[in-house]
Amino acid sequence: MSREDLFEQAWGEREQPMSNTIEVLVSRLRRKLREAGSAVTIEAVKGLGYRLR
Amino acid sequence: MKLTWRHAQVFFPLLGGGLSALVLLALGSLAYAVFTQRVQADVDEQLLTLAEAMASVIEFEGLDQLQAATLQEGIRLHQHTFHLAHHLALVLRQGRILVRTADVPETLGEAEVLRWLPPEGQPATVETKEGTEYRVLAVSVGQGSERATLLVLRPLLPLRRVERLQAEVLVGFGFAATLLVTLALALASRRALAPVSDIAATARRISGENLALRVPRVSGAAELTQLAEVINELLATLERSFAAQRQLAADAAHELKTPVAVIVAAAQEALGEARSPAVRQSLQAILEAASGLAQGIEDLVLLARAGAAPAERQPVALEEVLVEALMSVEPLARQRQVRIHLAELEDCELAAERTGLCRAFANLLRNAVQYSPEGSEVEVTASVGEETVTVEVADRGPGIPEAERERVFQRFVRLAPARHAYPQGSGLGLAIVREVVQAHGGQVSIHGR
Repeated sequence: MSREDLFEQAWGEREQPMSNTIEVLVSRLRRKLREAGSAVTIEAVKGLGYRLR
Repeated sequence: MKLTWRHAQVFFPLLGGGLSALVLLALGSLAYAVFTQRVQADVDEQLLTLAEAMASVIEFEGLDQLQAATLQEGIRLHQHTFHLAHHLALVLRQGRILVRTADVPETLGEAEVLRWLPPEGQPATVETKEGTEYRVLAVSVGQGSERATLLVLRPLLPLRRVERLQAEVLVGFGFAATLLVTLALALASRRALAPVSDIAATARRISGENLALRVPRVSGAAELTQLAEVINELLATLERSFAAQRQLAADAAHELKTPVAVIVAAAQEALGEARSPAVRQSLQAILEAASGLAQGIEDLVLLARAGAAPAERQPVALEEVLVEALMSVEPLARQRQVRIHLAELEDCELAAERTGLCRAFANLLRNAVQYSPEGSEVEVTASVGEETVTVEVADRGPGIPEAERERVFQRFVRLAPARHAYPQGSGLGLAIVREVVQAHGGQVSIHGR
């Protein structure tokens, strides 16, 4: 999923965000997954977005 | 608190102690003087009694037959009869000692006696070469050429001892009493004045935001209880008037909200229809001004509410609040091409009023973005301590002069450059930040890089 898609889904805006909100939220999500012992990981795809695995 | 003599709890004990020392000194001296005088009168009376009795003994025995033993026996008998203290006697004729009792010291010779011989019938205190003190009375005995002088002596050493002891006791008691009075007064005044520091501590904590605080019910001096009541009445009055003022602000803001919203909506609608560039420009100006006004009204409502009852607190994740604040300034950041970077932070939950806290962070961020040069970055870092959380918003803007760093948190204060750059700003943004942060028991301040 691309960063733009993510942003649009979450906040209804298409433009590139001016803050690192997504990174912060993703790292938070990663931490929560790790703490919960989940096998699912979120990978960053350079220049594109994120991928669930 | 450092105590000086200007403090009542130091001054009054010292005054009391000093006064009681003076009074005791005066009374003690008087008692001592009266005592010594009375004792001397007693001593003289005894001397006289003994001298008269001995004179008649000598008359009876005749001067020529007078033996030291007779003199001694006479003294012994009379001392016993009249309950007198220890006395010595000697008889002096034509400058020579005729007879003397055995306990008159050998060193007490004619020359010595003649040196201090008092006039007849007048008791006097004398001191011998060895430093022994006597009270002495001289009376004449016999007739004509048989005339002689009888000297009765009373050693004063035992009396001096008693006098000394008395002086020591008086001084000792005086000291003890003074100390006791000072101590008692110190304790009492400390107790009586203790509520003052309580009252002061409470009064210091009272500000416009927590007027509900009351000075504690004190159990000290009645004057202080009264003072505490008066202060509490004053606080109640203040609280009521503050509440009324707040209500006024809230009501006014509420009344203004609708018309401003109407202006904004109408301007937007007109902007959609308008074609002429001049009209569009005017409408744009109206829209901007009205939006600023709406923002100001909202701030006013928030401020009025913040001061009222403390809002209910709930567990709030710090990161969530920061992200929410970040999102709310996103449009402005895009417009000004300012990037905001939120540093990764530990999980942290606060007991907070979510909306207020969000607004405070958003205001801080908005301020940072507004005054950042285009294309620069605003950095947000948070460090979680044991009891506190420190959130720092750092921008690359021109900064705020040190002298103004406290003032900008006051309501409606706007610095000249800000008024110029953002004429619609209300001057309430940072006031809200401080209001909210203080309501959460925190502090907010500005530092240069």
